[in-house]
Order: sequence, then structure tokens, then C-alpha cells
Amino acid sequence: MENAIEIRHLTKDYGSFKLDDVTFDVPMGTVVGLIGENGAGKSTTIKCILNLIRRDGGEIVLLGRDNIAGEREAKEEIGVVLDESTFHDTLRSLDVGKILRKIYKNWDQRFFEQLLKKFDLPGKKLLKDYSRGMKMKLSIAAALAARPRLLILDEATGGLDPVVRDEILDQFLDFVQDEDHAILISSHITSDLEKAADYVVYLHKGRVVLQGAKDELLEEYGRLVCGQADLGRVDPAFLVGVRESQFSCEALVRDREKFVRLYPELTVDRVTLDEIMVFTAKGDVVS
Amino acid sequence: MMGMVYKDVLVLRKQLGYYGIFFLVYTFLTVTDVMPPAIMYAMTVLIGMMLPMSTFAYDDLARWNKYAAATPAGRRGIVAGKYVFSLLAVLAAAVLTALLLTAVVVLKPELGPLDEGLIGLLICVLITMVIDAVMLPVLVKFGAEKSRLISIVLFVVIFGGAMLLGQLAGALEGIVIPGWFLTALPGLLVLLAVGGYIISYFISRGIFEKKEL
Repeated sequence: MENAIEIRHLTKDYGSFKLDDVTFDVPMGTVVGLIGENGAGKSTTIKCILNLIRRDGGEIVLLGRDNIAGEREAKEEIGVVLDESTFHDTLRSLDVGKILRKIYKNWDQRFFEQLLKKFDLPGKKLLKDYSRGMKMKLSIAAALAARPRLLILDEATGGLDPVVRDEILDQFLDFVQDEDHAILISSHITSDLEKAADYVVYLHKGRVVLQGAKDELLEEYGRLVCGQADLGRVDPAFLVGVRESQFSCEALVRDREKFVRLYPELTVDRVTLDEIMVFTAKGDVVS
Repeated sequence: MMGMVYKDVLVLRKQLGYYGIFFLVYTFLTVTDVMPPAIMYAMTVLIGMMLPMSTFAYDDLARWNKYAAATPAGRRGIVAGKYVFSLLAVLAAAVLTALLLTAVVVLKPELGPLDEGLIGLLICVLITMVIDAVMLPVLVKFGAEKSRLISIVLFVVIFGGAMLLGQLAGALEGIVIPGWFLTALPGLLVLLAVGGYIISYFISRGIFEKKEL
């Protein structure tokens, strides 16, 4: 399977924060979710991919080209949605189309206007009168109308209500039906990624701490709730993170199937991406 | 790059309309002897300075550059767009001034010959290009907000310097300026304006290539 994005040993050092040795792929035909708490390095990674900031080390290949040497050609095939609307308030959405058709070779004005209609975005209203959700939908319409092969979305669903988020996620899933398309989406709203992502890359303090197929990860990990005495009997190799209170313990366990076989008397629930994140970020590390 | 220029025109269309009205008002004031025709030259310089600065301010507010650099236009397109737009702004203002000046001279021939007025206008265009050549790299480096003060200082230095030189020239009336220098002066000004503008573009490009967005 061809990769839309290949990142190898990406490093960016700000002094107080370091994106450290980040390596992952975004295969064609898939949605890859970049998750992590605020400040984990998601936006820094995306900025490095788009060459908005200079990387200190590593390699980034976009649609088969180096992201700096082949920047222009690669960007013709990439649609971008950043974490905030970047269109001027004095513009109207139809103006945005007129501007971008002069920038993107493959710009599809008809499709753009269809999307404006679909998203209920009035073409002649000034953007200063748009809500945040409307602005975000406009950014997504603009990204899609460029007829890209790759969509890069940085917190594109942040701050939106669940109905708009659902509508937008459906649009993304539609896009990725084509095997020659791919999406990299960063978000700390993991429920969105549970719906849309095929693969998940979890960044924590600038490092990739977990990555893999989303369904496999959700199968692999489990949430153990038990007393302290029971926890003491568990082989620490199973435990990823533990949170202890006065009366009970909660732990994230890996290799859930094997764990259940070895400890049939203990209850292990399914986990969400949110729980995996919280346990990894906040749970005591078990050595 | 043309997308960037078009964006600036659309973003500033309301402001451009206001400037058009100002021109008409000043033309009226010139015809009615309330103000001298020189006020129209000053408008050309002002527009040539203010419009580029306004586009930077709007772009900063919308965080446009972060998005634009992620499109095929890229960093080079952003910088080239600013230089082309600034040049178009001063040229458009000059064409409008020339037309209005012609109308004023036709209505009031006693204001002086048209060709002298047009030469004065051309000098203003070239001076504006020199100012833009200095200002644009500053705007690229620091953004509109921080550059505001720098541009005011620049304006005072250039015009204050020009006035000072004028006074100095008056005081040194006895000194004979070589004829070749006076002949070469228009050419030198054109060279300074055009050459400075081109060099300035490459400096801005270098600055913006290194900028983290």
C-alpha cells in the first residue's frame, strides 16, 4: 500500500518543548488520527509536514515527494484545514472560491458551490457574520474543492457542536472512500477519531507513545478495576498505567485477551481512546 | 501569486472605494482653490504607503499567511503577491491622479502646465516605490503592528530629510551643481526606485523563507 505521508525521525526542538524522533505513516485509503493532550506536539507535527516551521531533523515524504524539495507539486494535491478559520472577515464565501481558483490548478468551483449549499453557507454573507462552525465548514469546503488526494486537518472539529462535527466527519469518510485519498486528522476529541480513524498515532510530550490500527488498539487494551490486593497479584508487565484511590484501583492493561485468560476472576472492560490517553498521560507508570 | 493579489484587492475593496471618494473630494477642493494640486500627489504617496500596510494588518488579523503558505502559492507566492499588489496600488493611484490632474488643468489652466504636474507625479511614484522598498521587508519581518512605528519614523526621516536638503540647497546657492548630475538625476531616481524595489523583493523573500508560521 502506497503511503500518502511518511515521517521518519522527525525532530523539532524549541528548548522548552521538543518533538522527538516522531515516526509514522499515513497509508492511502485510510484516515489516521493524531491524538494527544494539548501541547503534545500535534500541531507542531502538522506544521512540519506543511513546512510552516523548519524541522531540525528527520524526513518527511508527501505523496512520494520530499516535503521541501517537492513542496509546490505536493501542495497542489493537499487540502488543508487549520485549527481556526484563516479567511478574512471582510470576505464572503464566494470570494474565497474566486481567490482559491487562482491558487489551485485543480480547483473545482462547481463542487465548491455544491458544498456551500450542502453546508448551508450563504455565499454573499460577510464571513464576520459567520459562526465558528460555519467558518470551519467553509474551510473544509475550500479544502475539498481543491480536489486533493490528501487532507491534512489540524483540530478541524474542535469547538464545534456534535451535530456539525458529525456532519463534517461524514464528509471526511466520503472523501476517503476513494483508495487514492488519505486523511491525517489531529484532534483531542477522541470520540471523533473513534468514529472516523483507521489508524491512531498517540503523541505524548513530543514523542509517539502508541500507534497502530484503531480497532486493534481498542482490542489490545482494557480497563481493570479491582482492589489493591488484586492489583498486587497482577504481573506488572501487563500494566500500562495505574490510578489508585483509597478503596479501589484502576489500571490500563495491555494484551487484554491473555490477561483475561490468566486472571479470569478479574473484570477487564473495553477501553476508549480517551481512557488510553488519560492513563498514559496521568496514570502512574508501572515498571 | 495572482491569487494573493486578487485576495488583497477583495479584502480592501471597501477601503479602495473610500480612497476613490477622497480623490474626488480633493479634486473638487483643488478646483475651488481651497487646496493646491500638490495635495493629490500626497494622496498618491499616502495610498502607495498605506495600502500595503493595510493588507499586512488584515493578513495578520486573519492569520492568513499560515494558510496561504500551506497552499501551492507557498511562501514565495505570498511575498511576490505583496510586491505586485503594492506596485499596482501606487500605479493605479498615479493613473487616477493623472486623469484628475488633467481634468483640473483643463478646468483651470492658470494652475500651470500639465507636463510639469505629470513630472511631479512621476517623481512621487518613484519616491513611493523607494519607501515601499524599505518598508516591505520590515513588514514581512515584524508584521503590521510592530512595523507601524518604524514606518512613521521612516516617513519622517525621508520627508524631513528631503525638506532639510531643500533648505540646505537654498543656503548653498553659490555652489554650482554639475550639469551632468542634473541630467542624470531622473535616471538615477528611476534606477534607485526600480533597482531598490527588486533588491527589496529578494530581501523579503529571504526573510519570509526563514519565518516560522
